[in-house]
Amino acid sequence: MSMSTVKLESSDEKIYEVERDIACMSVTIKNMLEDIGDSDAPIPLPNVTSTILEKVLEYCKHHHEHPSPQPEDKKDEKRLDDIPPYDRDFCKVDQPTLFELILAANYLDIKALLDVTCKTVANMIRGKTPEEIRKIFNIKNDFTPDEEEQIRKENEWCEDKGN
Amino acid sequence: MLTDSFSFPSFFQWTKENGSMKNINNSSINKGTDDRVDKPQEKKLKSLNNSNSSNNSNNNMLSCQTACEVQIVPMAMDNDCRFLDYNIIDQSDLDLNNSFDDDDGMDYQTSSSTSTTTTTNTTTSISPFSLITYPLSLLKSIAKNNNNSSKKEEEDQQLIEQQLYQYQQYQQHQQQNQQVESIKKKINSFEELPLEIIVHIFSFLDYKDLNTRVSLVNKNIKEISEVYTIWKYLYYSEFRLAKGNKKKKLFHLDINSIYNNITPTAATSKLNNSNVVTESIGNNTTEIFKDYKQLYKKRFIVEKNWRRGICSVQTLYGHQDGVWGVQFHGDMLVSGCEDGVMKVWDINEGECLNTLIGHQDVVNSFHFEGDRIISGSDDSTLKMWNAHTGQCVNTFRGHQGSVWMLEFKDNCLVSGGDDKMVRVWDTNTGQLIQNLEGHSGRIYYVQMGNNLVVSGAQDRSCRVWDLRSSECVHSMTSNSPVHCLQINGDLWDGGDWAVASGHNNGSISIWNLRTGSLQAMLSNPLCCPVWHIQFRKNNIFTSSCNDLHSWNLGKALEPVNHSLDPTPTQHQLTSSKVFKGHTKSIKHFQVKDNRLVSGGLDNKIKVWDLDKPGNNYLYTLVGHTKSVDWLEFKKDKLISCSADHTIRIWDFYS
Repeated sequence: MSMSTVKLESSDEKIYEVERDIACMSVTIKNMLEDIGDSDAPIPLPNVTSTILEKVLEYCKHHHEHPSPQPEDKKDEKRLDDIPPYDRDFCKVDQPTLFELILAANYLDIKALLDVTCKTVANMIRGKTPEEIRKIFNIKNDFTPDEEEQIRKENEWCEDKGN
Repeated sequence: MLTDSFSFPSFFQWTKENGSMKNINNSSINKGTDDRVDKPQEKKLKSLNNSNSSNNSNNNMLSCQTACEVQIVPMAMDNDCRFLDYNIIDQSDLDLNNSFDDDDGMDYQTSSSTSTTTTTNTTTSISPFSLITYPLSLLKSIAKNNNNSSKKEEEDQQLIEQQLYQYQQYQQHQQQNQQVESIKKKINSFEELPLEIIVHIFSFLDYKDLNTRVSLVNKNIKEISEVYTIWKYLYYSEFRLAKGNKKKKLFHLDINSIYNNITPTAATSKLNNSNVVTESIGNNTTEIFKDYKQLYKKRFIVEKNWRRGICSVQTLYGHQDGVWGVQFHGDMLVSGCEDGVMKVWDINEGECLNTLIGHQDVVNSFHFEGDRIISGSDDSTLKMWNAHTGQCVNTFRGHQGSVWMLEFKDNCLVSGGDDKMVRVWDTNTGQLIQNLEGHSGRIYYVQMGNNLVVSGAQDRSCRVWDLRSSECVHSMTSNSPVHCLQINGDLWDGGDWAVASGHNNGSISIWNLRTGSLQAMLSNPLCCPVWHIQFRKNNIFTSSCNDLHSWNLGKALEPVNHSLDPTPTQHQLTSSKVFKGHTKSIKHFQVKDNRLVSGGLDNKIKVWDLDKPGNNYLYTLVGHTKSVDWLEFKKDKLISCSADHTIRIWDFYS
């Protein structure tokens, strides 16, 4: 007797009825459902606001409808250039939203979403100068010029691969 | 129904009392607590049954509500929703002795080092009541345990386990709480993200981004960029050190099955088991906390130096004649000299630790493993030495004539020699346990794999022996005496092993070890002896005269079907690549990962990079004044020995 839909409740007490399969893309929800058994009660997600939950559900829905089988051997590869177009567009949001998506993905245990959001942030860092990185994320520099020079020296070894 | 629902709180009460981690080490062992223990368990069982049945009947709102509320947080904890498994939590967090120091239950603050946020003074939508509950699966397990209430000890044991479990739950819950905290507060900047998230983001960056850019952003970010999990991943992915699968176990010797075959007459050797080295050789596989950034740095520099030929050289003097063989073993190496003397050296200090004197004639072969070195000599004996003391701890007598080759694993030693016999010995007792008879010529080569031994002889044949039955399983005959052979267990998916044999006339054959069939002939354009063979993935490398060849086995791995084709045609392979450069015969080479190093009669060592386009040649290491007879390399060091009486250590790190 399995139900086809489940109810999810956001932190601001909005209730969403979603297909069970889609909800179960979140390992956290999947595990909760397994332990609760069949129940009509909405599953509270006190860590996720309705705005973010909607985004997350949109993502899950899309990937549920368009499954992209990833080869087993590539699963563990940390590549930055393999973000599918939909995911790339999905992550085109302001920084606070992106960060909240990351936290929600982590809490809900949706690996694909976590990876793609984290990759988006990593891509914002890649190839940038320290000053550019600071600017993008509004980070204050607390190094003295001497300290900076020291770090540069420490990390000199990786400047040239010797090919 | 109502009363049953009320039994939940009593469980929590119990949990708070007994679950107090202060008492975790002794409370449950004390039988005096049995009263307290048993009662709540019974209640729990009842309540569990009831919550289940109420779910099924679905008509009791209260019960349903309770079940739901109870499970909010613990469910997530139970299944560890924080699946970012970066180990960035301080270990003291897990120290059972110093965390809980209160009994009031509701206020679950700890003094543990990573708990920076507390649960009491913040408002969360989760009631404090639900925060201290435990997952249904725990209740289930308790119920299960309760069913077979047989022995007190067992229960005690279970209780300890439960408490430990609850403690772990609590720990996870603490972390969970922090997470709840962090999400409650809207995150506006990158730096406010939880540590493990930033680590996860950084794990997608490469060494250069992390080192030359991220580490310069600010102090906090620099510190995170050095978290060892990031560098561990980079270290293993960059240097192809896939954990665990690197060392495929070639040797699964079933010693017992060999013993079953000992006939009393076989034990002809003189027993000398009084002072045998019996220390077990075990790899301590516990992974220690490493500074992976430092490891990465070291390896990075080493690889760069290998490509550029930057290294320091240390020359080991001491042998009185040409050195024909060397073998690494940890921080030691063993060398064999033409005069029959072997020496054990400390690689780092470059000093001779021990000189192994005892053989009456030339040593032809030796192997170093664990603390033991075993050598085979023209004086028809084999000797086992303690590498640390230099003492000969055992002498294996039985061969009639020169011993040419030996190999050992665990306590099984295999040797072959002039007397056309493959002999199997027990290194612990010194006993000769098997004589494998069949060759009609001198045996120059033996190798072990699983329960098999492969021998190559002057009689132009390779034989495969099963140690369990002492029988010759296959005899594989070629047209020329066997000069070298190599077995390989990685070629076929089905687990079949391959053996490659190189012959005096330059021919090279690939055999299937299981079927004994010839899989391929390699068309060596040179008709001089094949000195050395080595497998690397689907390729095979061979040396004869001045040239090295690599052969792509590809097609040759397809099975030859004898039943359908009575006269099967073996694959005839032509060399896919020739490595030219040496001006005289190549005596030895080694290939590992993408690196090939060769040495020969022209006194030179040449280093090749298999990934480099073109001819793969990198550079020549000069220094030896006579023929380079053997060489071996590992990550950061290369050792070579020469007829000029010296050993050289080429260090690519210092």
